[in-house]
Amino acid sequence: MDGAYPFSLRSILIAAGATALCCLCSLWALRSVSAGVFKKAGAIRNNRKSCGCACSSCGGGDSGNARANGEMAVGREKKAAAAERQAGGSMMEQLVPEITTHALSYLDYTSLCRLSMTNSAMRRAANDDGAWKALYHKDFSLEQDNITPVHGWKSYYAATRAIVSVNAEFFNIIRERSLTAMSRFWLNADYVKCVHGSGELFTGYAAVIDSWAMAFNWDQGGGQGVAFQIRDVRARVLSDMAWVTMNAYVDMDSGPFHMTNIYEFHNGRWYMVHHHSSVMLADGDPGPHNLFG
Amino acid sequence: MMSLAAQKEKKIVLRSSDGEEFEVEVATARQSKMISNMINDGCVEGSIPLFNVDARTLAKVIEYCRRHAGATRILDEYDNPNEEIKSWDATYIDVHQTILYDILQAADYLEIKDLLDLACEQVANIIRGKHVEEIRNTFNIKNDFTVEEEKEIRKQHPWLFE
Repeated sequence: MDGAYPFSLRSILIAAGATALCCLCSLWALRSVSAGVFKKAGAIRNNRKSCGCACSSCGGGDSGNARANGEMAVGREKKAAAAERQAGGSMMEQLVPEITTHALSYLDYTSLCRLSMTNSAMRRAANDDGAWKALYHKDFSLEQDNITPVHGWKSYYAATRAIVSVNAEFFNIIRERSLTAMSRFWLNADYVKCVHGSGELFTGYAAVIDSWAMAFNWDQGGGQGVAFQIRDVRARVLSDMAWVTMNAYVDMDSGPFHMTNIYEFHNGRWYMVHHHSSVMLADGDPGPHNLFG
Repeated sequence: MMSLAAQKEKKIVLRSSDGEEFEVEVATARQSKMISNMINDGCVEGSIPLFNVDARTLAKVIEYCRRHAGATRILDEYDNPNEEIKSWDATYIDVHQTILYDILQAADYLEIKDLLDLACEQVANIIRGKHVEEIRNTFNIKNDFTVEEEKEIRKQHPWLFE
């Protein structure tokens, strides 16, 4: 509630100022020739009206107009508007929406969220679809430029961020060789499938988890864990399904790999239902080229 | 046909909203798409009145255009971001909010895309890394949420208020 307080105080001050001005004017008018009193009073009423008009636009909150009005008004009001801008108005609220959106497109997710919590005008600005679309393209991918997310870009950004983080968790599990975590990561269903870089296919939850147990043990023999880097992560998210493609650069003889991970959303979280890894062709080696090879 | 030297000499006069005149080189003036269009249309006899830009802001904007008019060619030839001009830009845009605001307005009005990008990025830089209350203080943003709304927002994203 205290948010409204300085606002109304400002309006009161402006109104008081306007009233004082009008009073001065009317005093002056009364002192001047009596014949013109009624005519002058009319003029003053008009004056007061235009005054109130300008004030309400200053205090109205749509600050984009406040500056323009200030420039159109006469000297004294212009000065008042400028003073008000420095004393009470916020630069962020006075910018035209196009510029605000442009500026916000440079922000990261956290900052945009924080800005949206400063007040209601900033919340509107920070929820702007264009800003979130720009942020999506900056943080994730230039692809998917022509899609129209059902719930808007902010929600699509959040969904993508969630799936990218889940996907990163998959690789952390591999780094840590945690079979327990891997068992929780997969959906317990008979249709889940996993194609390892070796070319072997495993179908069904039990077989898939066994294959990871084997992989983790196998690597253990080598002593150190395998170092790898994940690049070119691209995620596409629909309401309860998401797939992620990426490249894995492994510090060993085989590889690098193209990978595809597919997730399904169940009981409030994402589960892996498919993983496919295949060796990337080396540059300039077209390899056997047929429809199935 | 104008000789190269004569073309180099040719100046454009810009008049600020408060009546001050600035003489600038054509290449500098052309950094503004709006003025560039006017030059192409041949309507730059006398001075160009810029009703929305005051002298202080115009001087600052011209400083940018002059620097970038000289640098464009170098940028094109090597096709890589010029470190020197980047650091010049960073120093240039490190100004008080009120000036930044005026630059934003002027760059938008005069259609100087690079300057608008730079100024917008600076706004983002100021916001970045700040907490909700810090952002409010920095930009003088008045919190107008009701107690209930505020509670709801904090519940949605508790980590943002840490």
